[in-house]
Amino acid sequence: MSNLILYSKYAWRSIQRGGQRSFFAILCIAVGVAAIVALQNTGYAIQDTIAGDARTNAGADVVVSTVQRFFTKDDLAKFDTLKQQGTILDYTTRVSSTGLSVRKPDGTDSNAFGSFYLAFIIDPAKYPYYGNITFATPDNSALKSVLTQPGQIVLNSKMAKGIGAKVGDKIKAASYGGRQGELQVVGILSDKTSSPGTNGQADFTGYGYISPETATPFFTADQSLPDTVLVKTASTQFADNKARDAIRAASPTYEAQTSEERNTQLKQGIDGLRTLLSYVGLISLLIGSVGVVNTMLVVVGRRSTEIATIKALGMEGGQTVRVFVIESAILGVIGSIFGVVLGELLSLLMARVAQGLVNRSLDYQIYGLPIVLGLIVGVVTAIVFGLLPAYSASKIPPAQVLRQKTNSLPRISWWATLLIILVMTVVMGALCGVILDGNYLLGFITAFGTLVSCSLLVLIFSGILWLVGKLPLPFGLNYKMARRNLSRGRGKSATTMLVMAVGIFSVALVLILASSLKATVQSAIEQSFGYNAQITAKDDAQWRQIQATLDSKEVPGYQKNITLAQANVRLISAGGVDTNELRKRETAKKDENTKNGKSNMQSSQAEDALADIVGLPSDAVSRFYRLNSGRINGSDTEAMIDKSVQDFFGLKIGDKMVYRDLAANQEFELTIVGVYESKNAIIGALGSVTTSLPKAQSIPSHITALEVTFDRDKLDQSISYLKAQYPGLDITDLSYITNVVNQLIDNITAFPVLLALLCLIAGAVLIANNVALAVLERRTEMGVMKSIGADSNRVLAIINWETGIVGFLGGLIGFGLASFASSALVQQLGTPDNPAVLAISPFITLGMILLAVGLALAATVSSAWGAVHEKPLVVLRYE
Amino acid sequence: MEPQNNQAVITSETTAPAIVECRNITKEVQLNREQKLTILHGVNFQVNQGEMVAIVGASGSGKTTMLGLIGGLDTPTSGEVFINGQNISKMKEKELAHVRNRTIGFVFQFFNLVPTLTALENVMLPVQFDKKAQFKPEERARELLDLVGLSHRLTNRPNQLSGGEQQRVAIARALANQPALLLGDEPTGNLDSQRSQEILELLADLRRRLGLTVCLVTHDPKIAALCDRVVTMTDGVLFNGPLK
Repeated sequence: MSNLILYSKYAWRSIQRGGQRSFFAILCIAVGVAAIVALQNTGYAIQDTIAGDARTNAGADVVVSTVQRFFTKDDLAKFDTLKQQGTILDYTTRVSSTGLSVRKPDGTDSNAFGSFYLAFIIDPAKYPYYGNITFATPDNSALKSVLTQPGQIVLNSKMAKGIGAKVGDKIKAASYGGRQGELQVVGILSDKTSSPGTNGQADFTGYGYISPETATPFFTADQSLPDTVLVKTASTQFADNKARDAIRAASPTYEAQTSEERNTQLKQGIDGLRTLLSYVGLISLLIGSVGVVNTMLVVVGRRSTEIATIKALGMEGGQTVRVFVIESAILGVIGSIFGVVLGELLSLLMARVAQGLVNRSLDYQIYGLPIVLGLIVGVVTAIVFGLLPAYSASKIPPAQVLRQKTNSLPRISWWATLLIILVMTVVMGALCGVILDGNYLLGFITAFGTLVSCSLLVLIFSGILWLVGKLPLPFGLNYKMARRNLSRGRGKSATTMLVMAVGIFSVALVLILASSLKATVQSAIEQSFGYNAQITAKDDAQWRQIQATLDSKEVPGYQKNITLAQANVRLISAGGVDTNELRKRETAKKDENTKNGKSNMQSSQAEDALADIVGLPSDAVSRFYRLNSGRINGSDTEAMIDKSVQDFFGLKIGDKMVYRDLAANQEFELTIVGVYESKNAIIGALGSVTTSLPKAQSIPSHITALEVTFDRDKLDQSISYLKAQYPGLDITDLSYITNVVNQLIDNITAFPVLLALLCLIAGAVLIANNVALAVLERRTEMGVMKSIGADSNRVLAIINWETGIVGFLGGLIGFGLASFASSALVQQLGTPDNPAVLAISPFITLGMILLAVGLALAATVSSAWGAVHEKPLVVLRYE
Repeated sequence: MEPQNNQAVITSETTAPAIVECRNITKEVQLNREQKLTILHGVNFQVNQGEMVAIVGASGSGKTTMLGLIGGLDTPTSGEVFINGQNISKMKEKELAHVRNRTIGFVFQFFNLVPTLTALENVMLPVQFDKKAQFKPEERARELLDLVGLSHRLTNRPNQLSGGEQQRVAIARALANQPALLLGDEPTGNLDSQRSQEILELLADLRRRLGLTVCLVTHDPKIAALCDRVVTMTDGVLFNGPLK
């Protein structure tokens, strides 16, 4: 015990004496621990926010949707039956597909989506069954207490902000069918309120709640058919499961989930995100740990004479190891405490940025587990990474005391090194396992994989630095000295380069992917649509009038247009097989795909065939689709299907599809004559079943739209002209699709960029540490340089060249790898007709390289400034 | 031996102009918040052109500090240091660097060559640092390395040279910008007796041929014997004459 106190005292004094180098070592650990604490906190906050209490979250005991997209009166009758049977206690519906356009009072667009907001049609008396929708104003309200009259709307905070409305205001709204009316704002939701459903679309655009009575003047009966049925049971798991099974049995097209199942699904989704967050934290910690090794190695090197002296006085090798392990542990404890505090502060920022990812406002909360984990991980990491330097210290021969002072360390055997690295890997693997929620195998793979890949990369980077050392470029004396120094201290410089490359790779990958995605969508819209405005006609009479106006060439900038119609229908059977059987085929196909590791992403495209048909003029088909087999439909009784329909429902050319027209309740038949694939992988097909335009227009529930190409420069003028001709016309500038996509991508990318920046910051701290250590090792050399006439600026310039080169190369390699990886990933988005666009702007390229060099230089100046301005005699005399 | 008070000037009897002139210099270092250590106590000292002076004294007596102040490696707490008539004690960092580069040449006990540079490149360095250099760096370095007898070791790095050879390179580097003053801190302290002898002979020879002014800090009585004058530093006070 007394020995332990002695060692601790000795170690603590050494840390105090270490000054800047101790500070940087502590900072290295602190940054890593902070990353882990902040990211775990964020993970928990997301989980708590999204998947809180199951029933409250779902607002019901069982939530039912249908692959046929909405529930007809016949469908709802089945729920009435279940209620009468006592299987369910009650049910209510929600319409999520209706939207309203609300402009600002001055007539300008109120959001980037053509002033479009989702309008949920709900029964305020029943909705929701569980949990309260939190109001900002009036305080402590509920939907049923404010939505008491027709013509009232409750806005979410985003919509209220967008249109600049407050409670009591009257707003002008229009449906996409062109119906207009006035609504009174009776409540505004708190920004902590989440939207119904899980896809986040409503949070993204903004939304409001209206009652069915309010919806009537705006939407036709077909448009306001519910897409979700919320069911109340006796609120036990047994009752939930029984209701779910009964609902599923009622129709194979119903998808019923208990609130518990929905929450489990949500949690699984979030678990992936939490694992990703943990990985990022681990990378930051591993980067920080390299700082501990470097610091301890330099500490041991610089104190080799001192260590030799105490060994000459009788200290044993084992005791030496203990002294240095204690020193590492003290650094770990201090670093971890700082890291936890820093991590909690960082959590505040993280919670804000993560809002864009989950479309919810996240509450900052202190969680105990990340703090405990952060402290343990920080200390253990510091000790484990301090083992190698401590062992080196124990091998310093006592005779060293008699020789000239040196910073070099004794060589230790390969076996000892390997053994220590093995111990480090095992301990780090176990820690990774703890962080990854007990997945120890993954933890060991992560630790070992990181070690091996980092070692390989460090070797490659050492080779690059060796080459740079041999590269005489005409940049003058400072460059020459810098490249020689780089060549000499390759190991440490290669580590610095690696962390810089990892940081820049992460940031650049997210940015390039985001910009490529935007560019690919833009190109897809321009190439495959070929139009830039969409007019939705109120009815066919208006469609004909508009077509006549366009044909008269009076509209400024008009170039061409096509017409398409979309109709809501029900598929009864196809190829002589009823819908229930088709659904079974779909399930079997999905299982087969899962077994073979194939994607089931196209299944939702195939399901569109159950509820939608599209009518297109035959000459417009080739603009959207590439014929896979068969031919283009020629008559009103023929149809083409998307390849996904063929694949998932097992249909073929010649099969007959029997549909029911929901409004007229009449059946009709279409014969499959061709199979197509969408030319565009991102935007997808217009529909999964395409027939002639007249056929689609013959179905009463259809909507006819004109896709118009205007001269891009005259687009605003063209829209104004048509609006003047047809007051209340629903005409949309399609650039809003680009806006939607861009905003969506920006929202999603902000968080990963922040995560990547975290790695980069950890890298910058490590660079500062490495520079400080390099300067420390070269103090005498710097003193000599100054004694023969170099001033401080020159000494700093040489060091700046060194780290600048490392930063530049690290940035360049990181950026190059990110471009390469992005290119491979982006290709997945392309099709032969619409190849993906790899968008690497000069701005991003230059920005990333400058960021790398700038960070390296900033780290250098901050850590080397004091040392290079030291008076030479202080270094030469007292070192 | 006559102890010197703060006012007395340890000076030469030659009439040549002074290259080094220290006026009442003191040097203090702060040990902690309360304690200061005075290393030099108001030293007055002069070295005239062409002289070779040895400063001797026990370890910790302040001789290396004194040499550092003369060489512009540090500044005195009080008093003034004149090198070639220029007061360097109040100079800014950049001006001091210029003086060290053009007026002074240093030779250290541990040679202190830049390990990443070859012998030739080490010697070129001071000329390359000088923005208005009067020599062409490589030409000058070759000439000096030839002078110190190392024309066959131009492309060798310090770790490929013996101690004696490294010190020769260091001497050549010190002479690169034709300094008015050569300062040496135990230049033979890290060499065996034969190499020491060679370095001493080289220094004496160079002094003769180039008319150098030399000021050395040494423990070595052989060096002291070679010098025109020996002064002794004891506890921060300078005395005329060798250590007794």
